[in-house]
Amino acid sequence: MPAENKKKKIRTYPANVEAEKSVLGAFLIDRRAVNEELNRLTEDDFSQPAHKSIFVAMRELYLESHPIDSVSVADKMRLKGTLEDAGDFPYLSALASSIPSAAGCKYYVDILKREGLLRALLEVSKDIAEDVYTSEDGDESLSYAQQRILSVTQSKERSSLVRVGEIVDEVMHKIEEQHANPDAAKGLMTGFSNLDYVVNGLQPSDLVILAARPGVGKTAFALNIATNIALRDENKNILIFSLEMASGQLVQRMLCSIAGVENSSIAKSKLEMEEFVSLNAARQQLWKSHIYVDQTTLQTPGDILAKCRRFMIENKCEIDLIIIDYMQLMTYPGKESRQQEVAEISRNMKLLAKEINTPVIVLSQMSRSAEINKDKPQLHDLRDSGSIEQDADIVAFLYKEKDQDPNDTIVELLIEKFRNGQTGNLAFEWHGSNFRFVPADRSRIPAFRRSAARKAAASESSSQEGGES
Amino acid sequence: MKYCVQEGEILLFVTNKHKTEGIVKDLGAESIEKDDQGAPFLKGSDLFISLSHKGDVVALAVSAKSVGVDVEDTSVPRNVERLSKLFHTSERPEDLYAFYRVWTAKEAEGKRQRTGITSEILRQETPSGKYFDWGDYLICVMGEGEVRVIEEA
Repeated sequence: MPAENKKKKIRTYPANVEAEKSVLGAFLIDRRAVNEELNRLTEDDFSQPAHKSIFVAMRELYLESHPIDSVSVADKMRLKGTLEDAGDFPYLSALASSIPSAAGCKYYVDILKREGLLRALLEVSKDIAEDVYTSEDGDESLSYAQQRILSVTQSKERSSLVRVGEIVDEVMHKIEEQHANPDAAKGLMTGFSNLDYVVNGLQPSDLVILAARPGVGKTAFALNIATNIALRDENKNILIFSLEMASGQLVQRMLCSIAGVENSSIAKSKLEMEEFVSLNAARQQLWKSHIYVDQTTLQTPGDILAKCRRFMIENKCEIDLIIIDYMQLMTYPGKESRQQEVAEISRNMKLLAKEINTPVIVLSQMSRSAEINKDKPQLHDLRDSGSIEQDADIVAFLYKEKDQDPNDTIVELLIEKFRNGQTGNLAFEWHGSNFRFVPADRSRIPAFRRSAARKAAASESSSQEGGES
Repeated sequence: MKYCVQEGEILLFVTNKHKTEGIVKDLGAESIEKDDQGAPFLKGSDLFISLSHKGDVVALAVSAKSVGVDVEDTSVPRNVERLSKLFHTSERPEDLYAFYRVWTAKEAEGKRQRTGITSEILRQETPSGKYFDWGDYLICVMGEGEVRVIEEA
């Protein structure tokens, strides 16, 4: 290896002073360069304080529709008191005559954008390093680091001007899609017709709590929503955080529900040819889908938020739905009681939905008191779990009676909180053999169960009116 | 060689940026380069050169001695009284056209000296230059000799 190649590269601060001079010089001599390129820049794209103040003066002149040349810029800077520090009139004059023409201005602006981005990253890296040296919480520091990096990405995106021609097709496509499918404008449809009718689709930043006792079918219900959405639009990005079940098991459940094949047939290795065909068709559909599964156990809200941010940055895309199975398996270190811990988790789940701007469905295991309770679950059954009720936009309970007749496959979905509408209960038929819920008519809920629900709701509202704290 | 610069003569080309390269060749030079101060010089020729741009208009002055040129668009309205304070002299141009005459002269003199406008040039009384009107544009040339104007639009 040649000796010079062994030398370490000298580290230089990301800046290109000559390119900065060329851009400012081009603005001084050619209005077209100003019209085409000035809006792409901010003062942060210039490394030299003098160049920053010259650029700021130019931008003000531009916004006031005044000419931009050495005299007008000098005049503006004199009024602002920045002229002397920036080298006075001679420096501006030299800038104007330092370039042969304004040709190549776009190229120099590209250089400034690149160097500006590198400087922003360097500044953010310094802050992150500073935070790391003083941090006592690795997760918090990771979250801080990702947020700062994301802020650089976002400001980069914000500052770039896009020609209307480049986005008009995308907008037109959305309009056509909405026209063909009016539901698209309503929110994210779950694919359960009865649920969609009541809630009108899940809205971005909605926190949906789906609670049930063990074994009622929380996971299956959420997976059904995921596959319903993915089968309707394979480009929807759905992230499932499974803290309990292995990803293989989840996928097998999804295969069964899509193919309509019984899980027991797979377990017993007794599959008919038709079932193989159905499974293969389901495999194709899942293969094309954009469902992602993370099976890490004991995650904190910070872990999940970090993974979502990373997903968006790496894939340069939005997330359409997040499912977390289930809340009680999450941890939040440093809290004195489990109640405080869950309160903090639920608050963070709402923050997650807001920051990622997507619906988040969090499954919740019912508290022990609800298992003992023979009546239908109610909101106060969640109260042991801190502030879930306050943070959630929708709270729904999947319910079947403990001693329900095995032939009675009806499972109720009790919507006990709905920030944007009426509460109520819906009926589903549970096909447990292939993990599939199918909307059913409410009349199939036995009458005595419906009256019990009304009674429970009435007692709930009267206790609230009674000033229960 | 299409153009020959006589002794005691300044050639002033009023042209556009697309023609500049061809004019340089017609003067028998290779190209326009910049020295350490950023001032232009003709590679492959002993002639002095000065350039000024405003929008599409390019003024290019060539001479056997040091020369400077500046072009400005006089149709751009300005607050003359306020702008005149930028010049560190007692000169107070009466109107916009007079202002542009002072301004182009100082710019052209800075280019002739190959230093750009310095504090000294701002302080000094403006030397007299040779002025040419070209539509709304005012061109000032600083240097010794008669100016021959060649339009290559």
